[in-house]
Amino acid sequence: MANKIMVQHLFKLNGLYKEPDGKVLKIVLSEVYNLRCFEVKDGNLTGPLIKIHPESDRAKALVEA
Amino acid sequence: MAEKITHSICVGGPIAIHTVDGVIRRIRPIIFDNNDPKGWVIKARSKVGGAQDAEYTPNRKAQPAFIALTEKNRAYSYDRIRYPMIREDFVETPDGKNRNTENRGKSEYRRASWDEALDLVAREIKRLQATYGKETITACTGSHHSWGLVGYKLSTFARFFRMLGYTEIKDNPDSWEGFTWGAPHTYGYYWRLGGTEAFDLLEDALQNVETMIMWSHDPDTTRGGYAGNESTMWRHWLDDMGVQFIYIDPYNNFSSVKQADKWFGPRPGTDAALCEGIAHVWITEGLYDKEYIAKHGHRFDEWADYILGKGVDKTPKDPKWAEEETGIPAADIKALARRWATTKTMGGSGLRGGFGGVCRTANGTEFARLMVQLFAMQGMGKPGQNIWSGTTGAPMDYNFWFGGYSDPLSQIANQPIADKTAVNPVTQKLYRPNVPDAILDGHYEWYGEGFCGGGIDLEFTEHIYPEPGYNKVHMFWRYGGTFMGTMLDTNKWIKMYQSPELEFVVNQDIHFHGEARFADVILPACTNLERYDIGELCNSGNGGYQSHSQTGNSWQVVVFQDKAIEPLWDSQSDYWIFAQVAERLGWGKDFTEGRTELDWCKRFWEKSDLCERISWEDFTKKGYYVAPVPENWERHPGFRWFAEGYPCDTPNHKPFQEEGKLGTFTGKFEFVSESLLYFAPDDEARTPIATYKPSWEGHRSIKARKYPFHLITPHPRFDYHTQHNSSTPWIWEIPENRKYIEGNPYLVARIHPEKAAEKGIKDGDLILLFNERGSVLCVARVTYRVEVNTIHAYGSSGIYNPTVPGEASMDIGGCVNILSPGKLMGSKVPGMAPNSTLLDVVKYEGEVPKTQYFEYKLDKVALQADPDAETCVEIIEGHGFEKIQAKVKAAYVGKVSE
Repeated sequence: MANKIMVQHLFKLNGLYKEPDGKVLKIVLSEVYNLRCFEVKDGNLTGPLIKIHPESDRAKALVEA
Repeated sequence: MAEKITHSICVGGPIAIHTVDGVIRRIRPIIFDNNDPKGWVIKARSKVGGAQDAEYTPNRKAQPAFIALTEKNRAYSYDRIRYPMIREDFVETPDGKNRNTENRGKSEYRRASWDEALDLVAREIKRLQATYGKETITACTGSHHSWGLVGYKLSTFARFFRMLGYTEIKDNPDSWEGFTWGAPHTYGYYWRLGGTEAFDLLEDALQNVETMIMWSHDPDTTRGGYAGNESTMWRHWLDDMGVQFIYIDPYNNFSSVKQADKWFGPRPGTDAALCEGIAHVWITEGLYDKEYIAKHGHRFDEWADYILGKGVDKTPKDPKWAEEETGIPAADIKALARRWATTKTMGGSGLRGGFGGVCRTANGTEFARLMVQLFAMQGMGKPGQNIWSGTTGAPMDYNFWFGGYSDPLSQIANQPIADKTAVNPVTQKLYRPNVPDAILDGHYEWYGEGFCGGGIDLEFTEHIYPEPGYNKVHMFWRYGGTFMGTMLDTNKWIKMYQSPELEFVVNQDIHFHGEARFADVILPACTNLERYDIGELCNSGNGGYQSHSQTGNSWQVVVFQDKAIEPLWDSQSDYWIFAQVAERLGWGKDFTEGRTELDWCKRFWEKSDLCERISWEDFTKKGYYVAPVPENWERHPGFRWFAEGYPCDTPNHKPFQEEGKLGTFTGKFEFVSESLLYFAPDDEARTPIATYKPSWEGHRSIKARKYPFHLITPHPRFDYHTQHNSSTPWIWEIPENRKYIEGNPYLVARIHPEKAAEKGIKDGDLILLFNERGSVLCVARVTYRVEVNTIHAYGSSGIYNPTVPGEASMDIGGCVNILSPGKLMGSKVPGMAPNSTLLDVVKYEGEVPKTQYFEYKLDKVALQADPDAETCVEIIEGHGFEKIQAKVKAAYVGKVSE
């Protein structure tokens, strides 16, 4: 286990992050190796649950909103 | 005659319900079919005398507690509230005065229509809020009176009251007070409210453990909280391997008599002294992990000096000293200490490693801290060395997420389940154990936020009622369950209800529990079996205080709680009731967002991982979903990261754990607590060094001269809080539970034969437990299973049956918490201590109450509505139950044939 650092803590729980296409995501939960997000539109959480692996390209493209 | 099978889930676990012609015929566990996934397999030691290695896998069924299988009896129960009811002498005065509030508890009721009851409730809300402001209404729920994410108290109830605006009542962590208020100051875990992390420790135990310490722990009774009997098999496996089980409890409890290799029965409230005696042996004999403590302990030597008698009290806490306090022979304490230290030992207190009755004593915080310190001394986190009490830590797919009840993401009060989150505009609060004090005195101050998972500093926030700028409370809406059997010194709740300060009282419940009879308006809710909901077995909420509590199960099961039968009599779902009131207040559409209960259920499916695993149609048709555990599941053993010094890899952890630190100020096990030195250096109940302190109501207090017995009231075996036992006469036939005598089910209280002989008490006699706070009539069980100074009677009686209704008179229903002290653990420790109760006991030689006191009010209303109605006693004694089912069946068949 020692070599498996929980990289999701590079992201803030309940933080807002912007994707390259402008979509804003709120990280509502971080499970063992997954960030769980919902899209934020007009201040509201919308749509289905979005799962992002914290080491994925999609995660790397997120910037703090 | 077609049989319909639906599924549901209650606090006792998931169930399958067979209905025929609109009535429930049978309830059974859910048996998994060939399409459900394989169970996990753990490779470990074999049974004694078996092959070298063995594989362990769970039975292919959900394993609910027996109380879940009595849901049929509970649905057609004698004490169902059948109709909306209004207190007969309630007067709707325009100013809220002169409403005969002194008669609450005494008055009888009349049947009302739903429109009449709901219109009255809406009028009173409008009047009171217009007169005093939104804060004038307060509301409170019982814990876990129903299961399911729509109907749960943090969902529908919270949505309604937050939208309304009200004075919130903060819950206290009443099941594990000492661990909440104590343990975080030794090892952090405030975000788990003092509980430890048990991830993957079942495998660790099966592979490594040699001794189990079951301290104040009766797992077959408390069932890991909400996990039914899922973990019973695990403990059998350990037993069969030859693991030694040592039980420490003033009551030789049901698990202990089945399994213990050795039982220790300490004098109640002295467990912290036993901890110190064990520590003394380890320190003087060098039987602890010095390297581990040198690396991970903070100010250990100062604490060790105290144990060795070099502290201010100059008293060595040796086994002889501990014997004086606990009553356990010094030789036994030495043997226990040596066994613990020389074998791989796991253990814990109470149902999830950090709960248990010891935590609910005056010295509960110190016991919790000392217990953590003992496990730290043996290298907590190393294989086979951990806090783990045999009820949690099964393999689980941590990457499957479905919400649990305490998860803010899984409540209809909040986004994303709701389109709009409901926000309470009122900041004023009350504290649950002291609601009567606040209402009666008009002023109350306390520390803490109840559940303080957001930070250790929250334990020390100051609250005052009424909050500056706010008015006092004048309306109380009580929802589900009863505090007469679960809170403290509960006769004071009677005084509160009868106070004119409370101008209006509403009670909304399924059954006519102890507090319903004090209400002005009673609103009948239906059971889980009569409405739609959705829920997961044992999921209290990932990210919540018991994150991943489903590891208390062998299987992760999400259940579609289908409506098995129509709501009985005039009862309605809680959601319907709140929606109706909201409609009358002008915001019904905002409350429902246009959704039915079934629509809300679907929201939980579509906002979780469940929608990726199974379609809505397949899920609702099958009725449940079992989440598979991958064959090579990711192991994240609790505390291993800390012991072995790698960044924390367990779920639900904090960023500082990735630096290898605990959640204390120093990041280490604090044997002298820096957080207490900072926040509360003068705290008399929680000193910076955790020490045994004789209870303020215990064997060393002056009061013991008058009241020599010590009452313990553990979590109940035949109830879940106040549910089931009270409404399920089938369970009263168990001799260890209650004895039905002339219309009343007397609770069993246990007494040692030596003391029984002194008092002239024989097994089966009626005995009166009493102190200055009240008296409760019970039936005696004379048994060597209790420590000699102890009276044992399970807490949480849902039956409250005072012989003089409406007065603080003798109770024959078994509400032993009438006798418990209202005093909190300490001036800065707002935990309750029901297991620090002194009392005396006598053989009862008065006339046996001959009337069935407690439900005549229900009979009156039922007979008004239907002259052929079944009375409570008819239902209890059998024939009324069948009559109800026959009537429901006739109505159902008539409706179908139309």
